[in-house]
Amino acid sequence: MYSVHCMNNISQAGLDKLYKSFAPAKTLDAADAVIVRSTNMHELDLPSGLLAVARAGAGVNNIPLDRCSEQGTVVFNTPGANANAVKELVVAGMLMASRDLIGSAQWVSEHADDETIAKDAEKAKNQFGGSEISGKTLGVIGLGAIGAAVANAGRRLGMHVLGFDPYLSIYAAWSLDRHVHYVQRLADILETADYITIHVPANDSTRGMIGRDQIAQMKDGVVVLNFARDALVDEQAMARALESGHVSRYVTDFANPTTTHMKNALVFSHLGASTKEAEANCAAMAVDQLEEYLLEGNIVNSVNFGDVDLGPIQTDERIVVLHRNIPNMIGQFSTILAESNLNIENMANKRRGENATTLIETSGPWDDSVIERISAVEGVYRTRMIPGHEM
Amino acid sequence: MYSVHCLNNIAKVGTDRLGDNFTLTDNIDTAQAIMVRSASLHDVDFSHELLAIGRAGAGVNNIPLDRCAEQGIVVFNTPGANANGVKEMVIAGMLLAARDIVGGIEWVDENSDDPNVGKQAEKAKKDFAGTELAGKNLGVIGLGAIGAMVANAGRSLGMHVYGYDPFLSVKYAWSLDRHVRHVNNLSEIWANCDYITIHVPATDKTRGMIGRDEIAAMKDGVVFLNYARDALVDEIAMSEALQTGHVRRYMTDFANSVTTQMKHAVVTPHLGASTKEAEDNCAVMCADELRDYLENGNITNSVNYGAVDMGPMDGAMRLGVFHLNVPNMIGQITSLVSGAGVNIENMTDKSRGNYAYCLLDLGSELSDTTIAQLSSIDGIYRVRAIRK
Repeated sequence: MYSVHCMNNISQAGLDKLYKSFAPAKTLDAADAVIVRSTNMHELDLPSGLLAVARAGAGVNNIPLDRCSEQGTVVFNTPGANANAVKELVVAGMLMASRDLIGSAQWVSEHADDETIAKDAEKAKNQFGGSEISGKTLGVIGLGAIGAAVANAGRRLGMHVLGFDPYLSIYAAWSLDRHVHYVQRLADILETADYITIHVPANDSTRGMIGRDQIAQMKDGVVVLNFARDALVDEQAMARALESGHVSRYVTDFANPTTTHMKNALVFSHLGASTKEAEANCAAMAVDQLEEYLLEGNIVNSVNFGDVDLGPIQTDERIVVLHRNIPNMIGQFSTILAESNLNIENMANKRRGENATTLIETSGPWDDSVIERISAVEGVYRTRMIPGHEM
Repeated sequence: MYSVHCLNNIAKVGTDRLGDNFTLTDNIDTAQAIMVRSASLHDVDFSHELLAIGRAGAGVNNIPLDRCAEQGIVVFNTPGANANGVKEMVIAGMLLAARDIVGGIEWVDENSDDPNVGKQAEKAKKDFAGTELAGKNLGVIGLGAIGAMVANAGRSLGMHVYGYDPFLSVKYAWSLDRHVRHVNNLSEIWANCDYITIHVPATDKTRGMIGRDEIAAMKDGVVFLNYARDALVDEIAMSEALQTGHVRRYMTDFANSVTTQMKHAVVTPHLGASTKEAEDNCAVMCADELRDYLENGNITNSVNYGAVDMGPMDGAMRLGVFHLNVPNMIGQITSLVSGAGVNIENMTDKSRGNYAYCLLDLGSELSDTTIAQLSSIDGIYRVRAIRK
């Protein structure tokens, strides 16, 4: 039985699930795999036998990815586990941008001791009134798990929804309400939406993607919501657009010295995933992914190796090879197998960046020498044999 | 041609719907109809020209209903026109109760000059974390226009919804998501629901209906939302329940000396209907009601006369008779009309409290003399003849 060490507390439901399949490991050194939330692992020595690191959550900048890759440790995260939590916060953000609920609640607090507050409220409330979201146009940039959930919620709240995502997955497409209007150009959203929300990862091609030019194309009085990453938005340009009133509200989950001084910004304290349910989902998903990898060799949602899935092991054993993504690796593996008289029954290979995963099932039994020969191939980080299931 | 006087600003989308048969007038004494929002009419003397008052909104305590009824002036309001405005407020209320978003924003405000505010937020945020709505149980008390929309919205956010309304109408039953579970007993709501929202009018029967015993029967940590009327809730009992934590949050749209002092209450200053769309919808609905009444004699959503709808007017003459709701009125009306040799083709009579309205389609025109005779019957307030 594999043993797993929890570096941070996870929910009881997650623990129960974990220890159904795995033994607890008290320390990192004794563990085959770890589950981590926010602990910084950059300064830690990782045991060479560590097979996997599962991050219960989305961001992985507390994990030394390159070091993990080179020693053949697969790092997982749990994208989408917090999708509903973020979706609900986006809905709250839209509603709070539409009527000044915060300003009005503050007004009530300030007048709490005023005896005629009920009457005064009827006069004061004009300054806090606003509009409804039903019937308005919502533009969703990025239709992954979160964006798709937001788009569907918009539809159900009576909004016209435009979705933009040049990399739309089949899974997300399938989950989308059929009345979500799929647009081909970002400009279609910028020019027509009353509310624009962004749900893409921050990388070199998305950083600053909502810049001065994009903001200039937006409708007057637009509301922009950012519950993804602050780096996606050119915040200096946003500050100016808020100042001029071109953007009526910027709702962001990211407090920094620029956002906190913006006019008409609603700055949340990074609460997007801060729900009990999201935490539990992350833990459950992390455990599922560890089970799938440790017991079957399948990789789902890894951030440093390619995702592969051959289903449950069909033969007597399955071999997992983690290696660099360089030419002729598969050729070398298959030559070694052929020389050992092993026929390949099933094989999958998937790259991710500089690394790749190969899963192999063969007809005959393996001996240690085959494993050793594959491990010795230049560029292979780790070779692991998993016994098949008893029929 | 009818003339209408607007006592408050009425959205143009509303007045535009009155059509070619109408003009707006600045003179209240020559107007056949008044459109009003919050201006008080209690001290206004109504001219004999005035046939109807349309209140663009729900509450009518700025209008002397009985005095109007006795002058044969029909008062309309626009229930449901603000339903979506309130529904969105309730959703916001649930979300603000689920996570302490407001507390988080205030924390950011207080720390706005800290250059490391982003990093600090990562530590501070657990104080504001919470739960999600999806998967929780929502109880909706009262399934009228607003309650039905709230129930459906709860469903679409992934909640399990329990609805309670002993007077549920066919119209709203039809509009309800079929997964809304209809319960016959409020105790089912108390026992099951994590969020409870109330959408009933304040009447003698409903005042204080959320009292100490009801609150005690609710689940520990329940969130209660009140965007209907403050009088529905025993607020002293609610304060105590918030103090002990039995009720986790009270979200209310009614600021008063009790709610503003409550622990764990989020109090907004009556913003439920404060949207441009609700205002527009009210104006449109109000104009439609006035137009149908002035042109066809039909009454929809009156607060002092019963609802009568005989469709568009197409006979020789349509007669509207406003009368006291006492025996033998219809007998006297019909015998006078038939005595004049005029056939009654269709008739509807509808009472509301002390007052009743009788609408008759006649086969031929009734003479002014007969109309005057009708008007002089004891208990008849007004006779209105609509000619094609």
